[in-house]
Amino acid sequence: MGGKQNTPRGRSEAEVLVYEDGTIEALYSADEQGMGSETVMAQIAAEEFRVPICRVRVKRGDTAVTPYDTFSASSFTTYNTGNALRLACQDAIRQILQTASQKMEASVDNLTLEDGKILVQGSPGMDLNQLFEPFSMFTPQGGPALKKGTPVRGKGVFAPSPAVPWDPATGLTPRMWNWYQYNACGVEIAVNTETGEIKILRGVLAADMGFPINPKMCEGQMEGGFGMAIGASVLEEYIFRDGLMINSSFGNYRIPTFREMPPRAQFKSFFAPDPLPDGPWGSKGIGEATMVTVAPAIANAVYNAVGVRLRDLPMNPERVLKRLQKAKVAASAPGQTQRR
Amino acid sequence: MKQKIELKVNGKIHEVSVEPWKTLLEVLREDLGLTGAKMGCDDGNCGACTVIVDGQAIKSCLMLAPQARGKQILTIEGLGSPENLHPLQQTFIDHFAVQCGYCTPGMIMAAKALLDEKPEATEEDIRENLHGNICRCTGYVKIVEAVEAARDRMKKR
Repeated sequence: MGGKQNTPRGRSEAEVLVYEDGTIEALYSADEQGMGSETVMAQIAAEEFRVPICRVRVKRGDTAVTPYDTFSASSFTTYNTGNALRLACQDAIRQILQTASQKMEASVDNLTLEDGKILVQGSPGMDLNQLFEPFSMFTPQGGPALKKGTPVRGKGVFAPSPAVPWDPATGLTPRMWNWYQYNACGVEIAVNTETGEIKILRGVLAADMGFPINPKMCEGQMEGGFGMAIGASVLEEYIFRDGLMINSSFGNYRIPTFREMPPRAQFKSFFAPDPLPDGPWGSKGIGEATMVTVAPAIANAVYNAVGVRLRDLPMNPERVLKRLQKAKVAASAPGQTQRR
Repeated sequence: MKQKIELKVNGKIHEVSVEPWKTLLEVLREDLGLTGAKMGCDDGNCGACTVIVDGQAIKSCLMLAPQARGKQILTIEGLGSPENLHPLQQTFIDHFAVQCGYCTPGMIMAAKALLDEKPEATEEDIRENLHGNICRCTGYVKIVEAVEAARDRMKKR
């Protein structure tokens, strides 16, 4: 068991443009490193506007045109940028429904927007594109309408409510972090006592992501986190000499390959969602925390297998052998209790 | 000193004028504009630059361009088109086998060479044959899934 606390610092902003043909454009600056935030943001906008995801275009990361964001880090893009985008969508929808309300002379409370249609108490009223009217010096002006050629622009800003520092007297705080996300990991390993090599035979990982907006991508994060953690646990070490890293190539800084991951049937990931009230549909983050529990699980498995405690990372063959030899010497020396 | 060589890439003959110490990867990317093959480590350890030369997956950062004269070179650009993806390209999408995508072209080319040679490749074969291609994002699970799915699709055809 292990986890990560998270307190996003700084705000995220997002904008959404709604064109008269029903295209939704989401603008934000959070970066995409491959975790799939672009897909999640498109899903969020599609859900808010109740349109198929293909109707949503994402434009991100060009700060000449996209609004401010803090950074994509600390597993908070879905939470921070996602919340800002939801607010931007809701802002645009509000503008559309207000116009529709004036035009249709219906109470805005009875209107909803779904798949490019304005619904009055659930039954179809008018199409979104009918709200857009020509607007120029040659056309009558002043009626309730959206301007043809100008998309509706919704804006959203989200800054997480601040964590409250603990009371120095009591050590208590009502909100120390914005959220916790826990993980649990189990591994089955083999230790080669001749070479000191550790092989990961099986693995299970359970993670809390709040609510999995894209379950397949959450799985991907967990598999990737587990793989990366194998590297951190048994392979990867920066070696410096005279201020320079001397093993800066993939030849002498080994990262996990297909061979280091357990076979497909021997790795399982489980979702253990604990929804976060102020996350988009309850979601938190997923990325980093997936790595937290793997090294301790491997270290415990090593103890279970060969009876030695490894307390330094990575648990590479040199360290394992050294520790095994030490244990052997200690065991053969009479009158000494074995230190673990 | 530059020399003129002919390279047959994706079925087309290109005449390029290159220094003899240029690697195939550099010529593909810089002279031919085929940027699908990526430069990851430039010392043959990561596999991001994998292309197929005469049916064999090779690391194009380790082959000098003149060594590829007279050979059939296949890069990711020659594999499928956006309208008609190769089964491997399609299954990599379907199975979420891509995250940052930097290793993907190399993975797909290495997998293609394997499946061409061994259409019945097992998971063990895939893991063994692709272990020279490293991926930092996926933990390889979905990549194996995708290659297995492509294998089953290609068998059916």
